[in-house]
Amino acid sequence: MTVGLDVQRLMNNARIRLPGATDDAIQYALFTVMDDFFKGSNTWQEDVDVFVPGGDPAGTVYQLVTETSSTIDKLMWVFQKSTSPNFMRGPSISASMSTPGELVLTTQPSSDITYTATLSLTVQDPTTRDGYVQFPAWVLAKYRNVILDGLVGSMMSQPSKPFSNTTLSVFHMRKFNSKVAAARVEMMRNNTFRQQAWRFPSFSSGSQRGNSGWGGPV
Amino acid sequence: MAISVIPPAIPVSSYISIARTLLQDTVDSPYRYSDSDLVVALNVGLGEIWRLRRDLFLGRSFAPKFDGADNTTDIVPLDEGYRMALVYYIVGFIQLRDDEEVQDQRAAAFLSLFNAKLGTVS
Repeated sequence: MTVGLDVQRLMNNARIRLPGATDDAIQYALFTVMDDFFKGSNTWQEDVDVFVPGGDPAGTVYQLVTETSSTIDKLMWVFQKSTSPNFMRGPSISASMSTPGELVLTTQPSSDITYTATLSLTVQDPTTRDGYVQFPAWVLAKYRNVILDGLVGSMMSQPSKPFSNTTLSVFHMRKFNSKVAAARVEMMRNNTFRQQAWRFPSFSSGSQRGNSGWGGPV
Repeated sequence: MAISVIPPAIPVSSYISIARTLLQDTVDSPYRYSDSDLVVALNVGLGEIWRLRRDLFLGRSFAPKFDGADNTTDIVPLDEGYRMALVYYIVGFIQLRDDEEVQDQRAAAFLSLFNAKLGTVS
């Protein structure tokens, strides 16, 4: 299997900074780093449509299944699926996901309705046959230096290895953590420059009926 | 220039051969140290690497082990970069059995090199 140029660049950068580290060990650490990155930044999101029949009892659990090979981490928000071609989505609704993948609505609808749940995802096994963890390619292209910092810092924190280096590990992990926080903010703003991370609540521009809670970026 | 992406496969016989060079035991008339003794040293060395650097054997549940001197074409599943560390261990381990003072010093030196190669940039 061919490994992409961006992955080769990441691996080469890691190899240069980690004398004595094997590719297997780097790939193993990469899985953990990507898990930390996605859980901290929420950059990997997927919309899942959920059909809810009217009349289901309160507390009904709806299973959320993603299309990608991934693990569900968080429920970001749930919106009613838009029926209009002019709007991306309908009003937001209140829901929870105590167990990842199990959606529970606060209020059951009285008629059939389709909701769109936005999920934050993280990596999962299996990796590719080459041992590389799978995640969207754009993440590596956009955050290559963040991932490299996490990878190098994580490897350098291992004890009694040729590449062990406590000082540099702390340095790289600090950079990684701060960049993960920055990535989280970027994602909240939909990667749009100077977009505010908040919006006026829905009651300020229309009806006060129904749920008016914050429902994620507009 | 084409770069090979296939990891080099280094057999047991290659380790034995390099170790014999350092042991100055390259003439089979007969050898001072038998192939079986060297394979035992190799197995013990792999066990030590297993203890110190489990990351070199990811995906394995046990340290690799070889049976006697009959299967010296078997591949040692160790990264090429750590070949000399294992060779140093074999040589040091073998020389431990000699009771001459100078051999003890050589054995200690080789075993120190083994530890240094596994745990530091050296």
